[in-house]
This record gives sequence, C-alpha cells and structure tokens, in this order.
Amino acid sequence: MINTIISSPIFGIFITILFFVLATTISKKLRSPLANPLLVATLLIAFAMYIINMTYSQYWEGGVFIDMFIGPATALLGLNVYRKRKIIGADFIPIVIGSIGGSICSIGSTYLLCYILNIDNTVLLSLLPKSVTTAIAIDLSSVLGGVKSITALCVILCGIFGAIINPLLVKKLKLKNSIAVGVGMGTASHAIGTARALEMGEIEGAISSVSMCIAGISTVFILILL
Amino acid sequence: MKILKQLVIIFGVYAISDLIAKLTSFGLPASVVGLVIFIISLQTGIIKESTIKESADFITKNMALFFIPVSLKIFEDFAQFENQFIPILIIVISTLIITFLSSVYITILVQRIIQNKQK
Repeated sequence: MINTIISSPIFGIFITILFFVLATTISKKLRSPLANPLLVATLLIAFAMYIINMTYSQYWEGGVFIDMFIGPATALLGLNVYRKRKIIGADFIPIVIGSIGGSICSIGSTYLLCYILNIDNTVLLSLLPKSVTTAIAIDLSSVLGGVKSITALCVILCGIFGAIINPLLVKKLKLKNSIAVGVGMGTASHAIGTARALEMGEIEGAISSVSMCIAGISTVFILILL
Repeated sequence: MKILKQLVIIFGVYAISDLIAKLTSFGLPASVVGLVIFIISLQTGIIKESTIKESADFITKNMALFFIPVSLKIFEDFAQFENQFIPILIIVISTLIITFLSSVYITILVQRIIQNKQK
C-alpha cells in the first residue's frame, strides 16, 4: 500500500512542502546560519526517503513541478532591485564595479585552485558559477556542461560558510563601509548571504540583494563569453 | 482572482524570457533574461509593482523551497565525486574569502576614486 502512495507525483510535492515548512520553523527557532532551511529540509527529506525506501526517480515525479518554479522565482528578484533603486542611486557605479570585480575574482580563483588541486573538468565546470544565486548557478552549470547537483551543493555551502565567515572578516578588519560590506555579502554569498546581511543592517541587506543580481548577471556573461 | 491575474503576468513574462533565451543561442539563462525584463518594465512603468506584488512576494520569500528537488539529487550523484569532496570544500572556503574581500575593497576603491574626482 505504501508503494502506491509513494509512486504518486503528489507525494513528492507533499513531502517537499511538509519538510520545508518544518525546516523553516526549526531555523527560525535556532537562528543559526547552519540551520539553513534548504539544508535542513534536504537532509530531512533524504532521511525520510531512506526510511520509506523511496527512490529519487519516484521523488522526481512530483519534485519536477516544484523545480520548475526556480526560473520565475529568480526573474522576480528584479522586483527587489526595483524597490531598492533609491538606495542604489548614489553609489550605483561602485556597487556595479565591486560586484563585477568580485565575480571575476571568484571565477579566476576557482579556476586557479581547481588547476592546482587537479580537479576533474566536470567538477570544475560545476564549481565556476558557485558564488551566484542557486537558480542562475544551476542554469549556468548545465549550459557549461557541469553537474547540477554538485553546483547546488557548492552554492549552498558558499552561502552558509559566507554567512558565518564574512561577518567575522568584517569584525577582524574593522570594515565600517555598509555599502561595501553589502556588495561583498551579495557577490560572495548570494541569497543566504543577503539574509545574513539584512541582520547586519538595512543598507547592507538592500545592497547585498542588488549585488547578488549584478554578480549573477555578470557571471553569466563572463562564463558564457569565455 | 487577483492572485491568478498576477500569476498570468509573471508566467507570461517568464514564457517570453524563455523564448528570448532560446533564440539567443549563446546559452543565456531564461531566469536572467526575465530578471532584466522585470527591472526594465517596472522602471518604465509597463508593469506596475501592484500588478505582481502579492504573488511575487510569496514566490521570492519562499524561494528556498524550489531548490529542494535539485539539492536532493546530490545523494544520487555523490558517488561520482566522493573522492574530490575535501578539495571541493577547500576551494569553496578559500574562494569565498577571496571573493568577499575583493568585492568589498574594489567597492571602497571605486567610491574613493569618484569622491576624489568630485573634489
């Protein structure tokens, strides 16, 4: 009987939303960057699937419907940028150049380190877009010929580590420039970094979400043109 | 009905973005095309914020949900790159620090150059 339930596409959708709600509640209670809803939900679902003996292809029957929303959701970040247009105004050029410069450094350093550490070409292609927001990174990874799931993992890791490490750097180096910190958070650690930047301050958060978009767009152009 | 109307606009814009992305054959993701289209049409007033507000906020606020299916695939693919996991971790952390610091200092540098010019 359980097999009949599991093999229905609705079941995949059901467990995804169920565990996402659960994970979001947990992360709100714990308030730690490690308790990232995406990370917690993914681990919980994987565990649940293991318990009820559900395969990934059975899950994907329903999962695909949720996956389809990544594109429109990313496009809608345009509304965020539009709302922040007044804060961006005065420092438009530094923000744009900072985000583009950071993206170039991200791609360059990843390329160099992969070369030094003798990483597989497929893994390298999956790692290159890791600083940008998940939707853009995954799209880029498949265009470049990388493995989507490796990219997804690295993007999440990049966000979570960034939410922990970047504020420590800000403290150690006594960085007081809110705009520059916002650019750094958004460029290096996308949406997860932006969520953390919002806790640091309103300007940091707003600039971070804008930088995340600029970094995403510029990374696309850099990687596709190369 | 309001939400449905908003969804018509959102998915309509995305369908157009998808078409543009496919027509420009150099692999531009549809999501990025859509993002640019939304910024331009909001700025020029073709789309008003109120035309998409509630649905857009619902979708972007719960964005992490949509990444769960692809993240789960990691358990399927893990065997493929298991032996490279530690180097990958080293790369992620070190490039993260490089990216953060370079974007912070480039922004500060450009701000100073502009301020000096204005003086």
